[in-house]
Amino acid sequence: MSILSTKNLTKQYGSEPNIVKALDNVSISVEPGEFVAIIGTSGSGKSTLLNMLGGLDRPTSGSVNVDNYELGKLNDEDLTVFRRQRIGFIFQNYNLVPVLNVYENIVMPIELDRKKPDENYIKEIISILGIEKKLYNMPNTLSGGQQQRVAIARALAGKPAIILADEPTGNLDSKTGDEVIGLLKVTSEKFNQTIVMITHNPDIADRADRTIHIEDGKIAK
Amino acid sequence: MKRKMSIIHTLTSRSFKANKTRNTVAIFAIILTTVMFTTLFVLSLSMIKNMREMNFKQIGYNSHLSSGSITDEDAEKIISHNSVKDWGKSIVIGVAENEELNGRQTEIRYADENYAKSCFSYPTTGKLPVKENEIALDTIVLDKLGLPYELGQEITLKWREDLNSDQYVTKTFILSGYWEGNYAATSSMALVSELFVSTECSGIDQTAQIQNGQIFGTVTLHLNLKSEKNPENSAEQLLADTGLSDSVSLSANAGYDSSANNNIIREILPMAICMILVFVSGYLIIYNIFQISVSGDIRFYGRLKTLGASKKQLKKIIFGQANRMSVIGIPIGLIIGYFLGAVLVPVIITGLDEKAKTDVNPLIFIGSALFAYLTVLISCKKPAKIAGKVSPIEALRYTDSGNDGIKKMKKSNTGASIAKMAFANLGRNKKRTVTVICSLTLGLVLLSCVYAKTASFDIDKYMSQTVISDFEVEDSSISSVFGIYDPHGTTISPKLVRNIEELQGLESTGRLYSQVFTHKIGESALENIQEYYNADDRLSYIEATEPALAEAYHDMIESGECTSVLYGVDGLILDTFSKDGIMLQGNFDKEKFLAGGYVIVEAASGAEENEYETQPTYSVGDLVDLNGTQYEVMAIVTDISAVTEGLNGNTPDFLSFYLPADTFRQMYPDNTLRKLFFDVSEEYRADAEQMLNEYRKDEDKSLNFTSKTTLTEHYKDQTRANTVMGLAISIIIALVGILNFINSMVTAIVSRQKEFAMIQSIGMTKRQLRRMLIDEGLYYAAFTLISSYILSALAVGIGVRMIVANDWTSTFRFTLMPLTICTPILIAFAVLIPYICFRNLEKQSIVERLRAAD
Repeated sequence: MSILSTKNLTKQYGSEPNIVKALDNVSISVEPGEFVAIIGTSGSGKSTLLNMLGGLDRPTSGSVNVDNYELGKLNDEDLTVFRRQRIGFIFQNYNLVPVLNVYENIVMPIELDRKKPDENYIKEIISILGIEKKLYNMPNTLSGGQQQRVAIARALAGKPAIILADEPTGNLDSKTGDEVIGLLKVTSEKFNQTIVMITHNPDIADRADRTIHIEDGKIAK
Repeated sequence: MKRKMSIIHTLTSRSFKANKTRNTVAIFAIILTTVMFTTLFVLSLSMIKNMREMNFKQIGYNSHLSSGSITDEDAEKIISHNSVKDWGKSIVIGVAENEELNGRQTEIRYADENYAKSCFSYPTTGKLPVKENEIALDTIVLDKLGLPYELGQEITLKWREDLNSDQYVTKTFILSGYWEGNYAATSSMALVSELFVSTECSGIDQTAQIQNGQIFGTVTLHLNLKSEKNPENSAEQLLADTGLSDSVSLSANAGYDSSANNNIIREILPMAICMILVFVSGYLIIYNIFQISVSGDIRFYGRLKTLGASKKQLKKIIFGQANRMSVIGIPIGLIIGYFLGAVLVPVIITGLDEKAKTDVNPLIFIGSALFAYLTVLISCKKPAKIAGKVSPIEALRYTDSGNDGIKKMKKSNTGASIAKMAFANLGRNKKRTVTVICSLTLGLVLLSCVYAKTASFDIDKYMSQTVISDFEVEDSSISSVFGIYDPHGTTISPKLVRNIEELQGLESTGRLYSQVFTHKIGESALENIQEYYNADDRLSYIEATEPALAEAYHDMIESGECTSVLYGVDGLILDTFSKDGIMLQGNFDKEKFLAGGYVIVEAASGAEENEYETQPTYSVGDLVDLNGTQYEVMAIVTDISAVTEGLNGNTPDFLSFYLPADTFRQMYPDNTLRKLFFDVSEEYRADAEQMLNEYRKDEDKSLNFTSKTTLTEHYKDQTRANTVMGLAISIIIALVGILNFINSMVTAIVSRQKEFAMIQSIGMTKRQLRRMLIDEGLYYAAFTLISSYILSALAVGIGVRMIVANDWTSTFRFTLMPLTICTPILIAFAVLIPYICFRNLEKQSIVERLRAAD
């Protein structure tokens, strides 16, 4: 039973005659607890795929099914709620909220959902990620690696069904990038989470359980 | 322990703190908006309050009902009725007829505390009279008597107990109290003690007095009812219940009438229009500020949305910030606005004869706060919607410009000139450009309208309707208690005439004599008169409204005789005959008229609307027999109120004739001057006025005179109100527009830092960049000015012209003077603001700016 699947997923941009097919009949399936890397060159459509999986963008045709939710059937508000409850995002540029401190950033999605954060769980994540001492720092005082750890903590904090990471190491040097991937792997194993990660770095992709290649909007076997 | 705030609250508060500049501008805008609302509220409510009070003061009392003359017995019946809440009682003695009191009816009466308070005659210094010889007066009467405001002094009044006799009663009282006189009312009260009244009126048969139309010893009542609603019906009910419907009149206070309220509403209507304008200008700036702020932070909102913030939560963040600004801005605005209002109230609400009171009413604060807050909320609605609707993906590539109407292609091969780039930059956010231009235009158009309206006020036109010379003195009998002119009055004494003739700078004089006589009407005039009164149902109208006049008319037709007035005039009065709108038929030739043999007749007042209509008098060319001499009618003039004011007699007069003053003097050598008009050259007018004042003080306290200068000043005082108000509002609105312009310009430049750095890095020089920014400012100015000139021309040419057309004190003049004055100022702003912004920008290097993302 897959936790995430797409069926004939197609996304087109623009209108006739300048149609760009960002995704073309993509069907994938991810099992719970799997760590999947999606690789492809820039412009191959991997970011579009990730946006579709996260419900940030709507497909032209085809369907996305996450944790038994058919995303196409949800309206914008429901999609937002779905996103904050089921999905943790990690971005290349971290996307921390500059006006909130580290701790506030981590618990923000939970609080947006008007839930109480599980303090013990969050403490555990924070200590695994090694950012205990930075909890009250503002994002702009942190290094890139530190910011990405905060972003990972934030993605994990709400115990989402699935974590979507868009080039999480893209802005980091290779040593820090390795560390971050390591942490991601450790935490996902520990909390049994599914991760879908985009990267264009084959070394990083190698550390995933499975790799999906995308070229020109299609899955390249 | 600190209470944990919700994340939305934290986000709101943090992003509020992160936007200091925007907050300052927005709070300033909110303060200005609130100030305007509060000021308008203070003014409107104070105006309502003062007008209500003035209504009551003009009417003379503020209780719900007042009775006519009644007996003690009836009074008892009325006040014991269960609809009466409280009451005041008064017993009338008479009307003081001291000569010094001419022009001011002074009613001598006993009044209890309630009655005195109800008719604004309760002593503020001293107390109501108790002893038999005590009296309380107002300051107007004391002034008229030429007495100081001192308790314990002697006051001598004379009056008639029987109005039909010539027997006067004179008595000296001791002043026990006084109060500020009520100029709005036509009469003053001289309050005596109950003791005095009971001795004076003992043995009076009140019923007989009332039947004989006498007032001495009769009772009047002021009643307050339990319910304020519909006092007229209550009065009828009360009379019906007590069985007094036929014998007693009980009238409702017109101040509680709804028509009085309508009048008030009409007065505050301009305020309501101003409020709408304030709302619009407030909206334009607050909307713009938030719109800019949301566009600037759109990535921030997009990020929040990606992480799961719902539409509602994002809107909450925007409104939360707006609330914080309101919490700071509105109270400050309320305080400033209230004080501004309090300062403006006495300036604007004039014509009350006393200083207007500022209303302190919680409604002012609640209303203004509500209006200001509403403006903020409505202004934030759209920006909040934009933030709420932001698509997480698009937020990342959102550029601060509208998506609609983006050009797909631009056909141009003329290259990129700086002016063109500047113009294109304006088009990047059309909505904002339009908002700023609207905001500026609104203030300028309003300013033009207010100025044009003010400039069209024509004081000469107004004065020509009211007075015909710089000064006039009149015989005191014209303004005496019963108002009938005495042709042998002594006010304009030979000494006064000599004083006037000796005045320095005297330019011309005009003498006015008059005499009532019985005239045998000529054939032609009789025909004219009948034709006139039979037309338009005039006769039946008169029969319904003025039976006495109708009776006199029928007598006249039957007997062929009527009461007429003969005026003797010369000098400047004759000059007014030749002014516009005075001469109805015929041609006036001054030389010929003075040479003798000619008469000028007066038409019915009000008949001038249709100048070709037959006038109810002789026609031009007719011969008139006046005291045995034949005169030819030279012309027909309209009624000139400055000349004819005052009652000529108890019988209505139908015809009026003008002869030269010298001819008149030969007919009636004993008659004294009715009025003397005179013009004095400008530099000596103050001296002339001083002479008249001194003469009044030293020689004759009953002297009444009118000075054009005083009237002019008085009138200017009254009209200044609207001008000050209008100018203040339009200047604030223009200020809001400029603030809007500054804010847009500054944020536009700050948000394009990176873009500028990029342009500079590919070769644009600082000078060129500055030039481009200044060009942008100049485009703003140009668009604003073009739309302001067009809209102002329309508004002034159509709107103001229409308003002014209905106003007989104005002559419309097309002017756009304020715009002409504002043009260079606006251009200066348009150059200066980008210039200053650019100087701040320059401080950072290109590389720094290129890197400064996020």
